Amino acid sequence: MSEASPPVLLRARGLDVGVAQVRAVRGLDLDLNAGDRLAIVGRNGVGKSTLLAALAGLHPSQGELECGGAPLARWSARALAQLRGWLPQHPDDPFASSVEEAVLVGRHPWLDRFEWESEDDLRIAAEALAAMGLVGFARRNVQTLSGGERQRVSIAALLAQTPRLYLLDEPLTHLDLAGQIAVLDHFRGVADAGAAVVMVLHDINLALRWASHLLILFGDGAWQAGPVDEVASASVFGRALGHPVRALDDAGRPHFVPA
Amino acid sequence: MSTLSIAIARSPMRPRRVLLVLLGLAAVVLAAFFAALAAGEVAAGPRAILDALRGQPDDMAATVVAQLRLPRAMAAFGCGGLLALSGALMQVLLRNPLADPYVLGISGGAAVGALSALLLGLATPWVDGAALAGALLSMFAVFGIARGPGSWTQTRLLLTGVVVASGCGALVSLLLAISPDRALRGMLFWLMGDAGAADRPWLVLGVLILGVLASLPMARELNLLARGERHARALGVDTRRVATIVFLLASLLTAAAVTAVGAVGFVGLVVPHLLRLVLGNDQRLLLPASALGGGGLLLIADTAARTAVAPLQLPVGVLTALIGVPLFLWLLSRHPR
Repeated sequence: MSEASPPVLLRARGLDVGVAQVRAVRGLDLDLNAGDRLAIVGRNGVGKSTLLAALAGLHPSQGELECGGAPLARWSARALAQLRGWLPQHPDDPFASSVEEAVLVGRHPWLDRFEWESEDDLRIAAEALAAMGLVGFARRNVQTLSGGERQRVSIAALLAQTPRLYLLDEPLTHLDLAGQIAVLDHFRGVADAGAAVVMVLHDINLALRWASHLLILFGDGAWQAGPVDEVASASVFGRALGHPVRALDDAGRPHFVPA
Repeated sequence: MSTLSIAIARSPMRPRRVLLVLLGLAAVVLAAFFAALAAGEVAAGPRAILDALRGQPDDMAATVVAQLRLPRAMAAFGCGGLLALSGALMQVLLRNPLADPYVLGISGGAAVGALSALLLGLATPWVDGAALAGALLSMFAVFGIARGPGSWTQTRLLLTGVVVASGCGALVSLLLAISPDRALRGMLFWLMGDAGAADRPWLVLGVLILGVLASLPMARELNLLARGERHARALGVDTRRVATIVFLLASLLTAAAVTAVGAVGFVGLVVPHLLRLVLGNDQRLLLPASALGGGGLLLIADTAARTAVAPLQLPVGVLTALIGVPLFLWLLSRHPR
């Protein structure tokens, strides 16, 4: 991935993750360094979200799992929240709240128990909103937003958390094409600035466009991981997605379509 | 829930704003206190009230204030504050704006305990003790069953509570059915709630103050819990610990209120909700504001209940509903989508 002993943000060895009857991965080996962009691809119900939650330390797993050089269990909840962020798949809001308040929750791990959000925290939240194209939304009620707008608020809250390891569960849900590309481009910049970013993605062509590495789940614990160019092939995608896929040539780059 | 969606034109919560709002509420509560002490068949002027507060009642009005109205006002305020604070905590814990302090069966357990004691003809302290024991028993039953072997979900907790509550309701009906007529009147009074019967108002106030002090350090964590258990955990909240503490705290607050005054309805459901409409859902403001607002509402309602059609005394729960419902509906209609 990169040389000169880079900081390993996430390291898994022989990791087993599952829930109920679903075995997401068996014996997963994975290294994520600063600058890496990993896309997780697989069919519905194969355990992508479960795996992502396990990598975040929010779901039990067996095997070795290290974050920032120390076993996940060794981290305090607060220190871990400063290091790794997780984007939930289905935000729901039983209570009214302003967009700004929803984004400021990302600052929680950086505040002491009785500390209030400072001007710096407000600025970070405003920058996160701006990065997601939500200037002027700060005082809107999250309950009145469209699905795509609500999704961008969730992503802004994650950005405001300023972790170094980002784990995003289907961040492109509900987003229009411009929104999808904007999010992917933004997180490319985030990775270039020294973070590692993991996304569960459904669109394999968007995954190829954005990711540096792929982790493909085939179901029943089988997986394959590596740099995009080494992993991406019609046969692999066909097997993983449950429908035959063929590659078209798009100005020298493969573009995969259902056969 | 979508009917409560409002456009929010609020800047983020700052400590100064919290202080101002709480001072405003405290001023209202203070005014309600003086009204409660002044109003009644024996009119008490400012002089008599001050004498009573200084502990030197030297005429009839001051004696009435010191011996009857002051303890009653403190009990009403304390009980209303306990119920509203508990309701606010339950609503966050269950992530359900329709939750109230009774939804998890605490008041049902208290009622079964108190009515059993009344059926046996026990004296008042034993009735209070039995109510507290019943409340704690149902609290631990719900806690134990909902917790199960590890998993703790809001739905499971809510369902367990609702089932235990309805079981208690059936037991209350059974107790009423098998009771002799002479015990029935006392039982009905207990069930309706009566601030005049509270004989340890300082204790109620003390529990309220402890409740506010215990919940405030968790306020920001509760803000996160309201947005989802796993999301809160990802942001560094020990949700299992916080949820357990909040459940025990809210249950104990409810048990204290129900034991002292009775199962007054409406305050615990509507006061936090109403304040949330006006002030937003930041628990750092909402929790203390609920304590003040709930106390104030029950204080005003209790004063009205004993003076409106004196010498007849109305059940205070009826009054809280009669004051709260129009206020709540007006606030709702002021915030169209």
